[in-house]
Amino acid sequence: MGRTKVKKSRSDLAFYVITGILITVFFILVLYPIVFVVAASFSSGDAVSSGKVFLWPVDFSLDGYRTVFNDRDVLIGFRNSLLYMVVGTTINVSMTMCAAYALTRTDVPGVNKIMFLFTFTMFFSGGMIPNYMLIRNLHIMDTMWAMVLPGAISAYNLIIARTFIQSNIPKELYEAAEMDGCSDIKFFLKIVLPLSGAVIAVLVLFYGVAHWNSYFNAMLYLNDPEKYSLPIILKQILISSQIDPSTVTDPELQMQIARIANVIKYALIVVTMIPIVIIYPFIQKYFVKGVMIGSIKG
Amino acid sequence: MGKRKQKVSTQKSLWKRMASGWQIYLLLLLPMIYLIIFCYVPMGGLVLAFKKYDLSKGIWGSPWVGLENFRKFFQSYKFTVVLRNTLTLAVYSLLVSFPIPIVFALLLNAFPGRRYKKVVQTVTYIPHFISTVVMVGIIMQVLNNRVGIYGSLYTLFTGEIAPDILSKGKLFKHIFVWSGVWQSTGYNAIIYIAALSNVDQSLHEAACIDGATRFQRLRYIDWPSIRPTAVIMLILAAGGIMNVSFEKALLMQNDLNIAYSEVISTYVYKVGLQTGIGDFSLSTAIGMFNSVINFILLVIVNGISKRLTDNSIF
Amino acid sequence: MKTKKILAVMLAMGTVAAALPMGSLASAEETPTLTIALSQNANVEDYDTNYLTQLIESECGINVEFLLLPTATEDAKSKLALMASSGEKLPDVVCMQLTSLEVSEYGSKGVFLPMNDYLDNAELTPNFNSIGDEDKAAILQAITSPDGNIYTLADWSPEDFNLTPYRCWINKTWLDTLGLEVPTTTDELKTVLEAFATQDPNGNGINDEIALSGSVPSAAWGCFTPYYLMNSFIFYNGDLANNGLALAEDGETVIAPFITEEWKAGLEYMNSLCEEGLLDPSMFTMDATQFTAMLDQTPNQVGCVCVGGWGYWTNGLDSENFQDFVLLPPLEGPEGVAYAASFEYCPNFYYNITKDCTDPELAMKVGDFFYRKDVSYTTRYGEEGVDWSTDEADTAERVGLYEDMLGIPCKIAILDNQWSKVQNKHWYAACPHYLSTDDYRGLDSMQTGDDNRNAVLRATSYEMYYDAHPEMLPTLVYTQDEAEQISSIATDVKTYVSSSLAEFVTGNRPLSDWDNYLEELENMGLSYLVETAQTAYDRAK
Repeated sequence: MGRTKVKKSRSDLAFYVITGILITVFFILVLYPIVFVVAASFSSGDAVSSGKVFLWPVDFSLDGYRTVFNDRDVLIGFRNSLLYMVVGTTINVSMTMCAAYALTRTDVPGVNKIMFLFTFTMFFSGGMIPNYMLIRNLHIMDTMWAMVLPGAISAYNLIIARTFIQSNIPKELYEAAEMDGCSDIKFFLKIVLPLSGAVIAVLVLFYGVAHWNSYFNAMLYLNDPEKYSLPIILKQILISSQIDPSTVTDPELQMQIARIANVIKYALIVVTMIPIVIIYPFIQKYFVKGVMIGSIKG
Repeated sequence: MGKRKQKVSTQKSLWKRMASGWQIYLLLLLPMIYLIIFCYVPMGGLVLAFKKYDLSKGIWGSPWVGLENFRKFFQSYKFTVVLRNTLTLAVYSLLVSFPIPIVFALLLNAFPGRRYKKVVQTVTYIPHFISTVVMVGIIMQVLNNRVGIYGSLYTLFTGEIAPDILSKGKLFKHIFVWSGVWQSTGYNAIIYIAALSNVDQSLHEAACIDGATRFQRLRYIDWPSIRPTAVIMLILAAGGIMNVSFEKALLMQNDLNIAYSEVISTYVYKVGLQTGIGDFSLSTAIGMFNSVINFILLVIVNGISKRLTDNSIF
Repeated sequence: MKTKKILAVMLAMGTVAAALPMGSLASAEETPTLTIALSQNANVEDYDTNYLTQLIESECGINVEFLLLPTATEDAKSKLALMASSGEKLPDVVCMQLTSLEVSEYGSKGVFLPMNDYLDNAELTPNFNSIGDEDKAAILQAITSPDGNIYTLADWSPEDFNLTPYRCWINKTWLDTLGLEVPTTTDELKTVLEAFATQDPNGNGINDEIALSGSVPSAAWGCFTPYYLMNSFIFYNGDLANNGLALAEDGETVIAPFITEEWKAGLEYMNSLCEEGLLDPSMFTMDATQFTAMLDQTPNQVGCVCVGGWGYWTNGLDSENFQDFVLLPPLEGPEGVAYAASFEYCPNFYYNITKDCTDPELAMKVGDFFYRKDVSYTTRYGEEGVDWSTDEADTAERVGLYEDMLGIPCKIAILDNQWSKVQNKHWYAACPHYLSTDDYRGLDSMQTGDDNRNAVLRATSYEMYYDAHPEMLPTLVYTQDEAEQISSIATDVKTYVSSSLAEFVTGNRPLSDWDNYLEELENMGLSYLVETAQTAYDRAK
């Protein structure tokens, strides 16, 4: 017994060392772009546009952050994006979980066909023009609803949630509950939801991130600058930092404009990433091990 | 999942089964309303692929042209090259960026340091949020053979100027795919990390008592428990195979790699620039072509998976 | 909400707000309103309180409201197309840069209104009609659609420095160190480059010299060295207009320069430079950031480089490395050809009146207002008397851009440069305006002290490059049908020509493959492209 333990721990040690090395190497590689962006955000625009920034700030400067935090548009965009993210994600997650659970119940007639209808929308959509007209006809153009209602359920996330429920909530549990006279909705609320912490966390993350990054719908459906989301502001800055010599008339003047954008581009990216980075540890809490144990045994 | 068994056990009439499932339909009510209004009502717009769009006449008033838009695309000079490049990048990308997040999640999960693990998780997830323009800028800068990190290190170790890998067209696909891994592995691993968190700890405890090594537990406990998720993700990835990142490909193009880096979307974009108001018909047709390929692949992979692993979407 | 916004800006910049006439806002109820859609520029603080907006409102007696379209041109165009095609009520005016094709398509579909009658009427459009005959004729020709209607107003600011962007610079310090003369022919250049590459002119003992460098056209302006060198063999506009096509010596026939023997000779020359390690192949891949990083290296590593403007050196004119360089004239090739890649100035289309406009005459009046001389200056330089001035007291002490070379004194003094910053004075010139060549040449060089390098370099560039071209093909206007027919051919040809050039020069593809190259172009439909261009050219004559 003792000997096997030693042997086991030795081979475990080797495994941990190799794993540790692999993870650390990857960690360092991935750290680089983040370090770069952060360093660039504290550097002068000239140092960035001339490629002098590698690991640490060059010509340390807070101009970028100063500009970002003084810019009223950025603050408005930040506020709006938070709002769209919270409202949108709430709608997304509740709708998706309802649908996901219902769609695991293949014993109910028609459910499989409905699943197919959802999957189909992953591939085929009407395109820009009909979508635009729909939003107009629903009279939700230039409102928050245009940001949160289209895409309320993503088929992709729906499939993820459904798979999770299928593979983590045993059929037996449902059958047992049914015996006890538990209705479908009660089962969903009392058993499925509490057991789906991890996948709900994933959905919150995926949907939240999608809302936070959402540019296209905002660009098409919002006209009032007071309602702009953060990605619109970010794109404005990114665009003016790029020079496409084929479309501008006076590239030399454009170059000067690009230089201003370089000052705040990276600061804005950092500011944009902060909420997303803050959310993650909170979400991680829900990836709790062994949620299942109690419920099955009990 | 025991479909046959189900059939035997529920021999009730269709109507009865529907009636007893009314609460399920209730749960599906809002999602269905959404699906109809926001997905299926606008879907009529797909007819544009078979029309020549005229903005003064709208979608329905525009004249029919049959398969003309598709013909225009298939017969264009570049079609085969562009399709080949798209498929190369797509398949390569799938082969590499599908398994790596799984391996990453498994290894990370098996690693003992709790706090370090969380830090690694959070940090690896961040690059996903760096916009493509900036990310491509970083890639270009790192890989520059004179002023980049790659060039500097090469010179440091060999004392010579490094070969210019950005000008080698054949290397484009590697740079494209591996930089994608670099940026998105952490994000793509989230789903597996979440699935791994639901593994029953008692299984691990039992295995430990039986003297299983950590690697054996990874192999026989962790992996099987995320396999259904992995299979579904593979099916979904197969169904998204034609979606090669347009912006990234466009930004990474140069004259020396164009023969390898021109993909369907970048090509359509360039042709579109030459024709006044965007050709909505042509882009709908090409979008439809992509979707059909994606859809067929999804159905095939889904079918195979249903047979082999009993995991499937529908 | 509008007042809230104004208040916020007023607080932020009290000085400017105090100067604004508040009366025009108070009486907004009675004054007519004009809605203008424009693609917003991130560097304009607030369009509502912008000085130019205020100027239009007070002088035209209207209230301007904006429909702000996305900053990215592509996105703004998509949104406009969606609005037009979904039957949504359009704003009165669309004020954003569109191509001639887009303008004529919207026009012919009835989305934009024709302006011909208004432009003929000197009472309604006095400012436009006071433009000098020659320029006016050129503008009219450019803005007339193939169907004979005019749907747009254009800007006009032919700054000659921008018309020959492919300028080459050589390291004079290195030449002096090695005791060499400035080369004047392609052969001499090669000798000089060989010396640069082998004799360690920067004296650091390391063989790190880059004899000849550049950057890609898609990333950096005027930095693609092969286009500069090619013009020592045959005239090529550097793909700046007309898909790279040119006019033959007879002035009648449209030709494709990139299938000629001269082109091949040019490729051979550049290939030989590359083989000997003189031409740095990374010029085909480097983007602006790495290019700047390379130009900024200490000690200077670059011997000869093609750069459109000195902005690619950090600190531009004041950059230490830049002091080493002098402008190189177009070099004479083996056949005595010495051209510069140039293109004919083509105005940009900006101002369109839509079918939903309630008062087209008023909209036209506002469009014409931009052409008033001081307003045109305002669209580019900001507020009169504060940011710029034509007052002699101000101009007398300043040096004109072309004063040294052409003897043109400064006519517009720039008091406070409102260009490269976030400002609230103008719309970053994204509207019609008119600046004649004379106006431009009378511009303040914005240099202080004795060193007037900006002016000297521009004037030198003008002397060396501006007239170094044969008769040029004017900017061709295609009909919608023609444009659709040639769209994919033009894309294929342009991509193939530039990628083949890169391959031939770097030796990735041997020049013995030249015949295949020609055949391939033929298969793409090059003849059709040239024929269509010929038709368009003949029609315009």
